[in-house]
Amino acid sequence: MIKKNIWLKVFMLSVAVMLSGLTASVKGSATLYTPYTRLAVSPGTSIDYTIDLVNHSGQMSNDEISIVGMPDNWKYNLVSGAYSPRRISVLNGEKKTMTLKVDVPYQVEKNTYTFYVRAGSSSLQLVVDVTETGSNETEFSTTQANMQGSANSTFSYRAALKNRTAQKQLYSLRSDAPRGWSVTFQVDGRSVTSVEMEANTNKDVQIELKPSAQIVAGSYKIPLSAVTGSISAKLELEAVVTGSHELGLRTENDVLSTTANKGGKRTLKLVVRNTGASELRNIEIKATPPAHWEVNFEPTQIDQLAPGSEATVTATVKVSNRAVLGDYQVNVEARTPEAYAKITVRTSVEAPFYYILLGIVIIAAALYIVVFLFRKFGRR
Amino acid sequence: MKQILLTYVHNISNAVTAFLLPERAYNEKAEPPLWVMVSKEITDIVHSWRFLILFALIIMTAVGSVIAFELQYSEITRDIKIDDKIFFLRIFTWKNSIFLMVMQYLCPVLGICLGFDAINSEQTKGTLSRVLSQPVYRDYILLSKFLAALLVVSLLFTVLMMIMFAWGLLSLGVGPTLDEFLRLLWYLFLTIVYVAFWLNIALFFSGIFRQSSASVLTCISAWLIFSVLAALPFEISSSFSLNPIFAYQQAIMILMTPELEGLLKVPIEYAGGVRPTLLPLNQNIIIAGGFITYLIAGSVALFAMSYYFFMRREIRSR
Repeated sequence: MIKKNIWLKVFMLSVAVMLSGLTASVKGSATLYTPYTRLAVSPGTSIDYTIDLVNHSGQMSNDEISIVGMPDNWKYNLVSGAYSPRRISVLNGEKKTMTLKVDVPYQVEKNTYTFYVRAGSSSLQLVVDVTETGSNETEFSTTQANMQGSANSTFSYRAALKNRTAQKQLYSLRSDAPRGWSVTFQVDGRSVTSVEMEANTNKDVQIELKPSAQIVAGSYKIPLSAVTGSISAKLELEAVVTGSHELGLRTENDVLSTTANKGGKRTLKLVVRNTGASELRNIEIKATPPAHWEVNFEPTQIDQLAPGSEATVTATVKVSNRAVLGDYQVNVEARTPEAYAKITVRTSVEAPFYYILLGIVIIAAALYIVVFLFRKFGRR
Repeated sequence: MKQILLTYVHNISNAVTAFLLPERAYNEKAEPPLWVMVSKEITDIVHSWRFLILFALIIMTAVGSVIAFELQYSEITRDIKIDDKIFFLRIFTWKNSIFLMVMQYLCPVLGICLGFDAINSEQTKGTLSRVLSQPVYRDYILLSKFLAALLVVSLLFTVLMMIMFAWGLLSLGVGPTLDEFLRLLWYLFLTIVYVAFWLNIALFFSGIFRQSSASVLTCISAWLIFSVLAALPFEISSSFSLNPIFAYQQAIMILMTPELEGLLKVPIEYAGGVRPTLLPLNQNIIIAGGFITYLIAGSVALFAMSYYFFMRREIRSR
């Protein structure tokens, strides 16, 4: 009997305890409330929940706070006031506000994650939809990967390098450009070959591609990469080179000086060469000689010149009749709307032979007069 | 009177022929007496130190102008446009050229130097009466002295202009245009006339004063006064327009710098609104005509005066 009694007592007691717990939870438990119960986030996001613990139970509540079902590698922190509370007591008809900070890691699958915040018997279900699969990687991307330009232009791209890893990284910037291209990376206005980035930061990287002047027209793919010991982010740029337009101009014997008599003519052979990558049409040959000089060309225009080929132009320089002796510059230029070349031919104007002869004769005559005067009248 | 004039013309033409063609003159049996006297005078001039010094001075002037032009060649070609119509004249007239200025000062000195003791030194030495004991006209003495000096000076100036001319051809390759050539001939002519003017002044005083020191002092003071008057501002100096220095300066300026802006004597109402431009040579000669006429006429008048006094002079006494 006593034994029975004991068992009964134990049972009663345990029921009582259970009942008392039950009633307490029913009667004294507060309710959890937060407005955003389901959020869509991307990996690496940090979520701040503001959670209210509201007590309408008619009694004072005193509840254990716990968080259940949080995925393993997610970090969280629950703060109320200046503390991280384990148990919160709320007076009847009042509320306490807590802040729950949840860091969604980068390395996370695209999925729906559910966890619960519990306060006593009250439970708040929070759902987080991770919209994409996170990575432990680095992003190297640009919005405009394709550019077009001529062979002598510079291709300037703007790319973003994003360190999605949780660590500080030192990226070495590399390019695997085809021959004939030079690649420069610029960060914050400076040319760099590597860049150091804190975890979860972005940097703008300016990429300058410069083709050599002799590059053949066409489309080029330039693979770039940002590499650390373990990570490699790739970016492929495309540069479309239209044909370059360039002209070369020289004299046939490469001599840039000549002589001419005052009032006389001098013939120069000029060689116009298409040094670019595309055909040139209607090349005009012009000269800017000193005042009152004339320069004529034969032909005055070259209709068509294929890349790499040459044409010969005969220039006739006619020196002004009133030119003073000395050196003059004759500028000769070949131009199309696309390209331009110029040379300066230094022309020494010399006195014609009869001028010199006349001068010498006059001086001789003058000397003769003086000598005559002294010889005839110098004798007593 | 007519007979005398004809003899003069004949004698002068003989003298010129003899000078230009000496062989022919020697071959002739009798040399004209005037030419004999002129050549003796030229010999005197050529042998005198003061002439040689002046000759050296003139040569140095020409060489100095040439060197100055060469040194400042680039500056000159910047200042003076090559399509300037009177580019060759600019060699003489550009702003740093000393040629015209030095010539303008040398000409009176040359004239005075060649003439100031022409008559009185002969008389002091007693050679004047000896010459006159020969069968020559008395006026040949004065004429031969004048002609000899003028001939030498003309020759020298011609030589000088020829050297400048030739140098312009050789060094710049620029010769004168016909207009410039004529202007230079006019310049040469006027300069010779100007020397003749001062030579006549000197001859005149040498005939009046017995001491050559008196005549040279008078000549120099005349030159000084005229120079000072000519150096005054234009408004004042132009009121003494019988000043030979002023007349020569104006005539040369008008002929050698034919832009209107160079002509101080063109009244404002004529020049108003007229851009500086080149006048043709005949217009310049018309503008300078008064001065040119005055220089020639003054020269002739002075010679006539000295002739008048010399012919009436007592020359036997020392």
